[in-house]
Amino acid sequence: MNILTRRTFLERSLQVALGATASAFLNIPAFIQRAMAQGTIPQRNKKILFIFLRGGNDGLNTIIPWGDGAYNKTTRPTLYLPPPDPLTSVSGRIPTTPDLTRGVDLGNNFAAIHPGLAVLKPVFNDGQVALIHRVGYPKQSRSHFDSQRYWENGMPSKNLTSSGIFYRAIANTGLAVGRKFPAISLEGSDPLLLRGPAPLTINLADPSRYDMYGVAGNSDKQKLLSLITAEYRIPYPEKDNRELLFQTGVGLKDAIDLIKTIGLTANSFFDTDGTTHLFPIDGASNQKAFTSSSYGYFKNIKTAAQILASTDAIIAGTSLGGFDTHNNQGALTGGHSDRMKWLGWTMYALRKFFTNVNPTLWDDTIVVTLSEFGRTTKENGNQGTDHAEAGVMFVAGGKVKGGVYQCSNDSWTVGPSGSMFQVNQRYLKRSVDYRSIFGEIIRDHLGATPAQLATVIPGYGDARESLQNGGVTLDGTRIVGELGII
Amino acid sequence: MSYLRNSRWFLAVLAGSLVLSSVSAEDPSPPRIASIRIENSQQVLRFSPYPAAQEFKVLRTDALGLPFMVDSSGILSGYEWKTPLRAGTPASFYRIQVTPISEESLAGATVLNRIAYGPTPDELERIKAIGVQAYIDEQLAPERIQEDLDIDQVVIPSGWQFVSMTSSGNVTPTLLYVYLNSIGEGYVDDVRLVSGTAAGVGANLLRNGDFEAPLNTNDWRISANHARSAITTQVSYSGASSLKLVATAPGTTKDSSIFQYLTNQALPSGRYTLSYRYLHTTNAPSRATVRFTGSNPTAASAVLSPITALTYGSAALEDLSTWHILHAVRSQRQLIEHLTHFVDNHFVTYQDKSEEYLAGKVPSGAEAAFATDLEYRELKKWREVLMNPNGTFYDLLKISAESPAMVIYLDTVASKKGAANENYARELMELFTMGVDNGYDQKDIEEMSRAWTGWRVDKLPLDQENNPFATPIPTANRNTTPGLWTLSFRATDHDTTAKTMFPRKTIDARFGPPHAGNPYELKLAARTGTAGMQDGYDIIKHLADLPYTQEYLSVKLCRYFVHENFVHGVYDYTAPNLSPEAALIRHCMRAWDTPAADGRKGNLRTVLKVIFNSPVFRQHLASQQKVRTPLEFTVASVRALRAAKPGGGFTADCTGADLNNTMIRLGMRLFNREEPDGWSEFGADWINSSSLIERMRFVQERLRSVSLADPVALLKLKLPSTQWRDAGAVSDYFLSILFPGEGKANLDLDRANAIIFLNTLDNGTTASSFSVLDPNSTTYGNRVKGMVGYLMGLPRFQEQ
Repeated sequence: MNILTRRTFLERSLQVALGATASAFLNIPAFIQRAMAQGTIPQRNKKILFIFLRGGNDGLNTIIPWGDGAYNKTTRPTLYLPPPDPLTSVSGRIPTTPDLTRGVDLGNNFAAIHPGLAVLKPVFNDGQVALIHRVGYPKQSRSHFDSQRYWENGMPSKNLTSSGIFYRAIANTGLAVGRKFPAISLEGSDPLLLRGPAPLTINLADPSRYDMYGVAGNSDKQKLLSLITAEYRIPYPEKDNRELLFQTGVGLKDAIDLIKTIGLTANSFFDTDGTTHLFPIDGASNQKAFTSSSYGYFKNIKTAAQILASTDAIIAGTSLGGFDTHNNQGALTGGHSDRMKWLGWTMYALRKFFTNVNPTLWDDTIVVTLSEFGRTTKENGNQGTDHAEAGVMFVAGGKVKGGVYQCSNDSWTVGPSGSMFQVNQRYLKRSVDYRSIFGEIIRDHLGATPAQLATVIPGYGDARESLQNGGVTLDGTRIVGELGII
Repeated sequence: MSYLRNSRWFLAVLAGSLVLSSVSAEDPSPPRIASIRIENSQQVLRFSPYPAAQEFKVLRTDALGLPFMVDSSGILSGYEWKTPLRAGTPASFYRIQVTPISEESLAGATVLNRIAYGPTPDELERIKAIGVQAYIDEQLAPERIQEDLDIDQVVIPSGWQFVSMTSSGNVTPTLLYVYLNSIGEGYVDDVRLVSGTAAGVGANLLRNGDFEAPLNTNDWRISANHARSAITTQVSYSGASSLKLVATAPGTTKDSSIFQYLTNQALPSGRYTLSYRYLHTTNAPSRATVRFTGSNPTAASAVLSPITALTYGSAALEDLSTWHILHAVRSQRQLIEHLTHFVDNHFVTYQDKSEEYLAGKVPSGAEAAFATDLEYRELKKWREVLMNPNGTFYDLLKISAESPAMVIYLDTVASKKGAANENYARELMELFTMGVDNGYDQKDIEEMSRAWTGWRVDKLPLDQENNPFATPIPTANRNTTPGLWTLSFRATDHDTTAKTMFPRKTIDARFGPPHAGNPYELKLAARTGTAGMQDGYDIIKHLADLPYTQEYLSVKLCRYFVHENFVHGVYDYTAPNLSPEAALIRHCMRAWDTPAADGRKGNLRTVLKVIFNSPVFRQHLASQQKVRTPLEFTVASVRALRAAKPGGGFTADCTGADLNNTMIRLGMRLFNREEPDGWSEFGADWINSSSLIERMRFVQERLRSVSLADPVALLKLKLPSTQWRDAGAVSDYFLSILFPGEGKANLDLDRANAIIFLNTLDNGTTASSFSVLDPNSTTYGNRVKGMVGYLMGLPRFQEQ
């Protein structure tokens, strides 16, 4: 027996478990290879930009269920956000000049958004952002690391997988093949979302340093680069991490050359007034007057947007931290409120950016947020909230069927034993599985076939999981299945 | 772009054979011949790589009844053997013979990469001389290694320092500040401002710069944080008096300094020079700064060494990181450096959060220094345990539980009865003892959180610093009363009711005897007053030696030292055919359970001995299987080229701060990780194209400066002068010290590329013979440094 590394052994077992063929081990399923040879895989130009809100975003203060009387000052003494005033409506629209000291009306007679998100107004009123509440998964973990892992690997309760849902979305569909940079990560270390056996991801958190330094002054940079990258094609005895190391290096030279041509340091993207920068990355571009701790985040968002617009990359994304608000979460002001403002502006700015590049690019793009869990309904003793269960997701894009989902009179049970208290009498109960939302995106936006989708999200078509058509799941929870947002 | 790695053809003509002194079940299978082809009238034989291969030989027989003999008719390059086609002869049969590197060499390479922060040229020679076992035993008894590192010497500079700085370009002086950079004291005298670039030459444009006259608001004005400063005749540099600066909060600008306006003089724009004399006090040393508004110029006194700043509580986080990093580079006690890091990375605390907590409680501007002090104190205590042969895991756990940094980090500091915060209880079990979902559930977390209520951090009087029941210094007096920020217990906030954890739970059957089936319920009776603090101590005593904890900690240690693929919560230790990993964990757990000389379980060295003496650690299952974290990579890069020079000094060094900056770029901020799960031990979490590029840049940048890395000096030290211009010999030397566990045969093609590098101009294409270069020339130096930069940029150099 050849000395299989244990990681490849695990990976192989996983592939077998998923019912994939032996050559799927090499990341391109045989049937895809054949299909490609016959030219039957559509090389579509769809894009995804993801933002992982790390720490567990408090969904109840993001999309506020003011229609539920149990959301009140007793439940949340310092975190309570008052309902909109006047309560206009069932217009399905955000009013023109909302009162920013209260929740901002979403026009369904039940829900409002945090006033920091009011800048979303044009995107929401054009029906291009879906605000989805009560998103979770069975046997929800309240551990950051576990729950983030399940969101990222698309397999709740499976700790041992080491590939991400977005990795599989572009690998198992063959979409990654032939692209210089299928996926871009804009955070310190690559998220599990984009990790897998082959390094399909490059990391551009600091684009200007994406080049050799050189030893003999600058003059031998090319010499070093050429010889180093030639090295990556030499055979080697297998070691646990060697394949990853060699694979990562193989495309280095091409990647460096391509990045140089794009020009990622530019920041001359403006709102319609011609002066407000879309991406506040430093004092000079911060017309929005956000705190400077947002600069790093917006720099990553900008780079992600630029790469998606200028290359054949399919997926790019970053993280935003600071959502683990156990202490002093703040309602109208404070850390959570700041982040709501940044998030709202992100959606607005990205729509403007993509539309300015090319009117159809926004139609071809989906911006999606993730967060590992929502937070406790009742405020804790430190003016904050603790880890809980269901949370919220935003899905935006030119072709998204926008609106408020699962936060309305007919999808929410009100009261002290209602939806907000139905898990352990403390947590909001889920009514949507996050995999249903990903399933739609991966199938209807990226173009995966149902068979491919079943390898990206194992168990997706399984009737007992009810992910597609809804139903009662194994833990007795009724979920709605796919929402029809794509 | 294809993502297929170079495929391994599975057609075997005949199996290869092995030459080994002993064969173990874990040896890799022999190299297989993948193909024999005819190409360009040559017979080309290709075979699979083999780990740690020192030499390959091709054996041939022309008839299966006859023995295989070495066939030296062909050229072997990498994993290819080419020989001219012998027309008219029948086909032959071939075999590959491999001579691996010795077991000692293989183990030695692994040991220096795991127990030490990478080999140095001298350590490679030393471990060859004394043997692997002797090295391991030596490292397991660090208290017996005599060492006196300069980075551990607390030095308060004595005598008056002269400090000066000239403005860069022309400036117009309007306002000048004098201040201390941290809480503390110092003497200043002879402050001068002169026109021009020569310090002290010309009229002193300052009033009372020599402090011979009483302070007057017409010259020096004093801000609140320096209000205790006064003229003194105790010491002076010149004349009778000097100024004793006393800062109760760090100075930064006018409102936190002693300042003098210069505007009444209408000084013209031009070059100006500041200078002064500075003398440290011995009880509260601090740096001083004299500067103009606008900071041009700034004359700052010499930096205190990291250990001095740490000892006097005025350190920045960079000081602590630098001190930690320099230990890893320079210390002989390498294992204890790894263990310190392991423990700090296990009981994670977060300096930024301590800073945030202390804001408003300590003098403004000093939050970072106080927060760093909290990190330093827990680190110091852990090192003491690790230096003690009787040190146990419980000892480490207790230090963590009592550490103010931990009480703040996981929010216990605000947890009180009726509103217990779950964070610490959860992570204590999930991350610090039992491992996620390994023997506890959400209810246990909720019960346990109530036990930790009342644990606080406060400023206690100096003589009460180990008494959490002492009355804290009242808030109003905090900044004026000496004391220490430390653990304090507020009984009125403690939840006094009884608590039961793990009710009716029994140890999983998979652990086997003697623990399987034993109940491990913990019942804490109702306790009032200060007795309530015992809840926490009972909990950690109970958790410290549970089988779940033994398992999880053993898994973590094995992931750190052996390879990545150990898991907790899964192995069935009663099964007959345990994997090598499960067997090793079981062995570790048994060692944990064995009382040490002082009668206590959980002795750290007992467990480590099991790991380091295990064949899993010493052979292929561990060799080169891990990836260097940013800390391990940067330190190993320094050590790889660091040999002692006969006249003193080394052929490679660092400031510590330089490594810290690279580590931060690579995503690793020591003592400052936001998530409690610690820096990852998995390669996939560190390696992507941009981190690879960043690592290569780090190496290349260092090689540009001989004070940081001088491979030319190193090769001249270790090779005879007849070989200095021999591209093969020079390449061989660096390959052997950079990749000691790989085997010469596996490095054959890298060697060929290194030789090409040495024989090519910087443009990468024009040939330029290495053998005619003058070994003292810049060209020679650039060629060698470039080649070393190339080798250290290879994927193998990222491995551990």
